Formats: sequence, C-alpha cells, structure tokens
Amino acid sequence: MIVNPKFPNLKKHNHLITSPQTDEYNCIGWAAGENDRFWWPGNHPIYYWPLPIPVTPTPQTFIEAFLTLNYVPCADGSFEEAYEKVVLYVDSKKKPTHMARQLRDGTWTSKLGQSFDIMHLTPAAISGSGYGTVHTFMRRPFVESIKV
Amino acid sequence: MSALAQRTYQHYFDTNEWSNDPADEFLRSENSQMEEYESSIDEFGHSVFEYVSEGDKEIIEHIGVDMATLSSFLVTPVALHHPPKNLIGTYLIAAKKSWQRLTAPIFPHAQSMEVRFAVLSDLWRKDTEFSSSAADIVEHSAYLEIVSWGEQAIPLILRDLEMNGGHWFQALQELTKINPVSPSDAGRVRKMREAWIKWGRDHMLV
Repeated sequence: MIVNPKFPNLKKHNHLITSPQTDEYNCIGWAAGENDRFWWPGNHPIYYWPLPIPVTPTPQTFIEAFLTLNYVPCADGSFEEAYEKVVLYVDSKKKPTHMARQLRDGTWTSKLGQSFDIMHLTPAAISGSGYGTVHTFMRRPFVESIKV
Repeated sequence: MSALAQRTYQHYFDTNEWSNDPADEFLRSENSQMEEYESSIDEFGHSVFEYVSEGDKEIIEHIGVDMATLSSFLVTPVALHHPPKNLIGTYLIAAKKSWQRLTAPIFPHAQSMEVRFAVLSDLWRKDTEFSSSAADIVEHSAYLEIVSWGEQAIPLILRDLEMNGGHWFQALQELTKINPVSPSDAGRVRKMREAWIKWGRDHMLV
C-alpha cells in the first residue's frame, strides 16, 4: 500500500502495487503499452517522444502523441467493452503530470514516476497534489496488440 | 599503498616536505628502491622510464607504483611476445584506477563533496520518486546544485548511476558536452545507463 501525502485518495481498499520499483519507464510509456522506455516531450534527445517536440509541452502535446496510437478524446472513463482508454492528468497550472491506462476489467493501471506500477479502481484515486486532476480521457478500439 | 602512506604523500604534495609521520621511513625506503629500479634496463638497453610517457611518469611519481613489477616487464618472458611498453602501459592504467578509488575518500574536499552528493542525491530521489515529468526530475534544486559543480561531479554521478541508477543523463550530457547514447535508444533507460557507464569506464572515471 502506498501512503503519501501527494496521493490523499489512495486507500488500502482502492489500489494494489503490481510491479517492482523501476525507473526504466514512466507513466506515459506505460499508458502507451511499453515497459522499457521513458516517454517525455522534452530533454531531447534524451527521452522518447513520437512527434516533434514543442518548446513548451502542453496537454495538447500529449493528446497529439496518443492520436498517433489511434486514441481519440472521449467523454469519460467509464468501461466500454469495445475500447481501451487512457487518461491524462494536469496540475493546477495545466501542466501535464501523469497518464494512466484502463485495464480489461475496468480498473486502471499507473506507473508512479520512478516507483511502482499500481492498479487503482478509479482515475480519481491518484488525483491530488502529486498528479493534479483528470484533464482528458481518450479511447481507441480494443486491439490485442498492446504489449504489456 | 597504505592509507597512512597515502596521507603522508598528500602532505608531501601539499607542502613539498616530508612530515614527521612514521610512514616517512617507508617512503624514504621506497624512494631509494625506485632509484635502484631506475637503473634496471632491458635487452635493448632501455630503462623503465624510457617506456613511459610524461603523463605516466606523473602517475608513477604521484601514485608510487610497484616499481618491482614495472621493472619485471623489461625482462619477463612475456615481454618476448608483448612489447614492454604495452605491458607497462596496461599496468599503469590499472594502477591509476586503483589509486583513484583508494585516494578519493581521504582528500577532505573530495570527502565533503561525496557526503554532499549523497545528501543531495538522496533528497532528489525522494522528492522525484513519483514524478514522471523529465522536467521535474532534472529541474530539482538538488540535481541542479550537483550539476553546478561542473566536471568534478562527473565521477560521482557515474558512480551513483552505476550503483543506484537514476536519471542522471541530462546532467552528464550537460557536463561532458557529449551523448554516447544511440539516438535509437532515446528513453531506453537501461541502454542509456549502459552507454554512460561504458563511456565512464573508457575514460577511467568509474
């Protein structure tokens, strides 16, 4: 169980640690289905990003990156059998902080920075001073190709 | 070389005088041995010091390498297949590495830097543990302080990268002005780490 003031909504009953701690990938890579690459639109050419990187990354930068993976913005994070979903979080200054991916049972999976992967029941479970709040949900037709 | 002898050497380098330390006797004895070894020559009439560069001479003087071993390269049967120069060079590289490891903790400045590095890197790790933002990771005040040390920070960073991992890549790139990571490995942290450690080893920094 993770107890940290950055995640005031994480409680014993709403999340599980599901991986060892590692800094080899981050939440964006994990949301994109990778567990061996750190995605971030900056610090070029150190980290990976699928598109040219703007001077100041915004939420739109992240949305555009996931458009390349056939995701499109959608209304909410409710479970839809035919789709897989991701969610983008931003802080109070609208700076992107985190992404999570919905699992096939409707729960969500997040890579917490350079720490663990967790399963959390809802997107709101990891909102707080650490990752801010939900900004955009995106979805794409469910495909088996997702690697992890 | 013992820690006591190292400290005595350090005192000598700092003041150009032998201290009253008991290790003095050891050092004087070693110096007289060095003079003896200097007179050893190989079948071509070359002494050890004719096979070493100016840089290597500095290593010999400052490290106090094992002159018996060094001189043995002039006459060993192995020398029939390997030029004494190569054997001596290889030995000196190993001696320099060993010396760097041994001496780093005993210099007060280096020691305080190491302690400060440990404190800052620990703080940086704790504060950015849950951060996915590369910007947040590399703009942390502790990270920036370490980068502000300049080239002195490179061996400490590389050692930490090797032992504990961590996203030191931007700092290393900034301090060394190079990036040994293949563009196709951008973001592949394990490969990035391996590339930097290899670079550090090639430059005898780890």
